[in-house]
Amino acid sequence: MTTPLRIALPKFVLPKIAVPLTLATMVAGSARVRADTPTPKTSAVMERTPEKQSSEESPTEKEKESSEETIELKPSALATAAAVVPGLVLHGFGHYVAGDKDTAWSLFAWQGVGLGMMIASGAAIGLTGASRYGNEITIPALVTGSGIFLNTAFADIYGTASGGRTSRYAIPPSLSVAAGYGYIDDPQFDYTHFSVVGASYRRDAIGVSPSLWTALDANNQRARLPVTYRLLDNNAGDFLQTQVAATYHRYGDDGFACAIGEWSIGGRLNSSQLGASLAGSFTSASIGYALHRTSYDIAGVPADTIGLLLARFGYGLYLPNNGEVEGYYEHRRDGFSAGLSPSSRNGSGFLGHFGVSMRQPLSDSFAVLLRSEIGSAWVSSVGIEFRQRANQ
Amino acid sequence: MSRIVLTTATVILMAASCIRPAEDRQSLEQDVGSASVGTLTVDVEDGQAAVQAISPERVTFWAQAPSLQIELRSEEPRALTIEVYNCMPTAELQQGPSATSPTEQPRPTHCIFDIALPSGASQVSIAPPDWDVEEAFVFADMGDIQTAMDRVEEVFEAISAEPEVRFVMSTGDVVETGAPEEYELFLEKIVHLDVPFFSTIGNHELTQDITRWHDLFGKFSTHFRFKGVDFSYVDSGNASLDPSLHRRLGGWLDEGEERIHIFGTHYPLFDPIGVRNAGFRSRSEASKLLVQLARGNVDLTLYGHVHSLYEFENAGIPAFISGGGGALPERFDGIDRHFLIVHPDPTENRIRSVTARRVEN
Repeated sequence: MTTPLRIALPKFVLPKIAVPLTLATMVAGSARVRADTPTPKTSAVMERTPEKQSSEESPTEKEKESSEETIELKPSALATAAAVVPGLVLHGFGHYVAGDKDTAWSLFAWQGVGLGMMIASGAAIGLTGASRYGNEITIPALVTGSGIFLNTAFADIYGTASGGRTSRYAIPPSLSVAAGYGYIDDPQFDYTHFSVVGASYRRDAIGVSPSLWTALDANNQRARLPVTYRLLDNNAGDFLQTQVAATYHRYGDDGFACAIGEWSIGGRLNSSQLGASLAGSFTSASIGYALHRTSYDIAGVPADTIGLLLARFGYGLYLPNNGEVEGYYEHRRDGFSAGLSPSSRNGSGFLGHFGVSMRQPLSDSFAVLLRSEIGSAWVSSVGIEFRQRANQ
Repeated sequence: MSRIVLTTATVILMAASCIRPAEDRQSLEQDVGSASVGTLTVDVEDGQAAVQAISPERVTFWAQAPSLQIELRSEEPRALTIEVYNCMPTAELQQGPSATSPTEQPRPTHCIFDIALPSGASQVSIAPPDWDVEEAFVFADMGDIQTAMDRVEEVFEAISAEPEVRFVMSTGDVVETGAPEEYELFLEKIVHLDVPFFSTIGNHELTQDITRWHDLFGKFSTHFRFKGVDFSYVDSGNASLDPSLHRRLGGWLDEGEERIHIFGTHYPLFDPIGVRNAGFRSRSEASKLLVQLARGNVDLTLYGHVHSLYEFENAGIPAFISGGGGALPERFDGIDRHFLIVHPDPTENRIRSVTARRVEN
């Protein structure tokens, strides 16, 4: 259990929240990127103390009044239990039980936003029989709404269990190279073992991170080259970026290859902007579109080219020593992980895959990388990253 | 933190058991067509009919193919009644013990044969007389009845009014939830159809107990040859084919490489509306399957799941999505309820035409 924190909690005023949990709200222009840096404190009781206002902000009187109160949230099993039951239905209930009502109402309100998006888009899909017209809006809204809905539940559990943590975002190294091993359990394909190599280079707002998976026991290779551009970045973990990527995936043993060109926009925000008890965690989201072209190794057989929706959301934790771990959902159905069929009784075909990734520096120069995804296959990898010392 | 990691790991481990969700159904299919009572044993070749009931004097089948090859074993001679639901309208005993009385046909698709079964093993063949004559014919294709079961007789009557249709191929989602009363209603409604209804399953059959389908209709995938044309309608109820079904399909494709081969399954391999992605859960698996179909010279791919009508190509193979059985229709497409009329011609080794017939509301 981590140390309780002294934190400042603005009263919940939904239109003024500078905490867009997802891309939808960021794109809508409600993002006001800033960093919260909670102060560790050892006291284990609720207390109220004055807090210093940020000099770069000009809060309204109402905001000023509200931010003059600070409370700290003591982690408790009761609050965490409340975050599960009935908290999984009423997000924020755990914080409410813990006495952090501002965060509770914020989580509850954002749950409502997510649920509203889910209901509205789900109804639109249902009432139109998943019409061919409008999927570009309804399905991203459904996935994004689901992301908001789930992330507020995670946040409630996290905040009540931890009370907020001091681990925070670390600026990644400007240059890193990585090598590792990938294991894939896919009953549809013969490959299992992969070598995985990658690199990452970032200069100012631009980043590039090529990667290559090569099967060791089959003729299968996946090469990917994403290039990102940071549109907003406060170097504290809040950023908005756009990405273009090219992927070529050769299934040599199976007689086809896929080429994917994609564009997406997404970002990450420190959850502490919703409530200081959420310090040490973050939420991420992105949406985009891709063209997926499959070519066949059969003379005279034409390639198939169709669109592909890209949508992703995640909830992550900053770890000690500049590490981080994130659980995420990825809607895309190409690649190794593709889509999950949750059970034999659920036909699925709609879901993408779920995953967990972790990056933990072992020193200034090395980090360990772990990733595991479950979709139509179970895809796991472990690697070592050599890092140029971070420029902090 | 450790609790979060532990919970996440548990979820992943549970989910990992779902990478072969259709595996149990493949096992369940193994016993289709086989049954015994006392000294009487019945075994339908390739499980192409379900044994719905068996007694020492009577065996009742539900056919999932136009021609049935049945092995009967009895330790002593006996009079036996063979009753076949979902049979071809002109089906007759073509091999084995002769009928002891004229064939009864209470309905066009309900056949009853009385035979004198000798002791030992006997082979019985039940099929229409022209089943292996290679010539052009017509069949109907449909899918996705689901919530429209209460008025599906309108579709069945429209199909029955097509004089040349020999049978219906269904791409699944016959029921909405698979509740027993839905199957009962289906059996009531299908009396409006004058030709047999051969079907694979969709995702909706999986919602409740899939053994209801198994007990009533037998296999989840059906493969047969009729008049020189091969049909493979396979179970993609989980937006995927089980690997063992991929292998079986490979064998069927090898057998039918020189003939017209029509492939059907519930989920489109690729949804032409890519963003919607109402296709296979893995585009890689879909691509692999399309390689298999293209190399096997498949002539036509037919899908359901999407409640509309689409015509396109995948891997150069003509493809249709026809989910017009009446379930919640796709809006703004001007389609609504419909079925396809397909006209294969094995003498010219081509599909002459695929046309849609609308069923007015």
